[in-house]
Amino acid sequence: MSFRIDAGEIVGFLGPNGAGKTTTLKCLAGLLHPTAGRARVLGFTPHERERAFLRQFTLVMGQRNQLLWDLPAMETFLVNQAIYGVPEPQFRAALDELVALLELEPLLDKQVRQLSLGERMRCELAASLLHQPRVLFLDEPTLGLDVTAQATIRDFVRTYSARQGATVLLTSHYMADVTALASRILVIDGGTMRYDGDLRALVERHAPYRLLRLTLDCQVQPADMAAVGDLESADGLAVTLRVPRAATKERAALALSSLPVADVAIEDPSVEDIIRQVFTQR
Amino acid sequence: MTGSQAPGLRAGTYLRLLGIFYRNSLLNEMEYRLKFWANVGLSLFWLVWAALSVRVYFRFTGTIAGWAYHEVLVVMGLFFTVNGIHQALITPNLARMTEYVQKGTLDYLLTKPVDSQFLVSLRHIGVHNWADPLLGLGLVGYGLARGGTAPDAGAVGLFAVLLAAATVLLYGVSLLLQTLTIWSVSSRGMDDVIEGLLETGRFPVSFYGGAVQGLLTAVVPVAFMTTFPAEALLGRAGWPVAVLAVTVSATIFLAASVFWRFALRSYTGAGS
Repeated sequence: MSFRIDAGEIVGFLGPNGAGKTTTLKCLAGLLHPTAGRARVLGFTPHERERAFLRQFTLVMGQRNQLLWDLPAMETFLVNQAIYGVPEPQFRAALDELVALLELEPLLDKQVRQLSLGERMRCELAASLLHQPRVLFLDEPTLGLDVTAQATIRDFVRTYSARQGATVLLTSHYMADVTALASRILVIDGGTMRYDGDLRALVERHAPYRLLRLTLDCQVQPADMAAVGDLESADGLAVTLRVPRAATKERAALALSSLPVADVAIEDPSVEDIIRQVFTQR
Repeated sequence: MTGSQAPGLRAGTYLRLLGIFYRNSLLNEMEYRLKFWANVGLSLFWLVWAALSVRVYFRFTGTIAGWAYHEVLVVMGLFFTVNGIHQALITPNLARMTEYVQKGTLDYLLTKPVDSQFLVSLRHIGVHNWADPLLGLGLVGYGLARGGTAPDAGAVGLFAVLLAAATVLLYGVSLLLQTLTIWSVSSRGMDDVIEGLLETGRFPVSFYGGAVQGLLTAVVPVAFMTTFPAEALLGRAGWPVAVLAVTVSATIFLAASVFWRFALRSYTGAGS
């Protein structure tokens, strides 16, 4: 497995549990020694853990907590200010920006244990970014969060990366995180790279078809629909057909003219499905 | 040490961090103020109980293995002092090792541009145990007063050196043992083992005699923690003991630091 990420890119890691996503992040963050091969981040060898390197990245793990549990989040921010030796004016500026972007104002004085999971994650992100790192390793940053909280984190990462020009490496179980954020995705499984490239190209390569969702006026025999496309699923009058991507328009027109169609919609197959295909095509 | 900062600046950073850490601990404990007073009450009870229970033996004899009652009280006071230092300084940090490894929060400590041994060793302080070393020293003072002999400045200096060496030694032994967590993942009970060993320091090592005395001096160096500092105050120990104590504690400290760094190299983190 080999890859290179340029400054300012947002790259998403996809893969099933145990594929090696977190292990890869940990190698890059200097927590693990690679058993073979080489990693370089910002010109440093991560596992040597030079201070100059440690100062320039951050690691956020969705299921792990670094905030002081019984104290307001502000106390952890001050600890990190001292740990990274951030001068006061810089610290204030970074804090103000993060408080505004993550809407932390009402949370700052509450003890961390009283915060909801989503609120806590916003504070975790702020604590991890006060030293303005150039590289962000985000391991499942939205794990367990509800849809709204996920969207908040997602919007934040996008805005923050654009403003700071920071490089982001992200792993997530939630496809929406990756599709919304990453311009490039790496699909890994069992420690090998299955795909490296942009998301659209992946979709075109592994899913050369689109989905035609039809709502019919009356039952139609599957044989009568064969000319339009392959039957993907049927549930009463709701029928989904696969049509070749390039011929989508013609097939949709054919469906409208040859079938008793009440409603039609054209969709791309979900990225989950495509990824599943990537993994099953060995 | 890497980084562009001068060593002086780095030391400043560490001192500032200590200030912030202990402010955190203090703020934390404010949440549980009753605990402080409950702990003082309990410690005082155990202190008096320990002193009285030894008194029983001295109803039948003037000295045990050459130690008079007031001298045993000095040793016992030191036991409470060292035990208190353990509870206040060492346990609140090193007993978290299991949590760090199991929850994976060690990863966060290791990605910080600060020495990891510093972070695992001095991040917290047991505010509600602060009174214990003071109560212990109170018993030491009482023992000395009861004996009617005031130690001279030299003896006090020697005592200070030995107590500092005892603290470093106890820390080094604790770090050595807790570092095993990196491989064993859980070390719950390790702290109880250390406390149990420390418990033998309640009495002068010569009480145990023979092989046990040798064991408590050379293998499990409990003698350095209570008996030797007490002997310094009682005018029974000279500078050679201090030189030995400093050498032993410095060696253990270095060994623990090296072992910690070695363990981190084989650390693979919790979960995938």
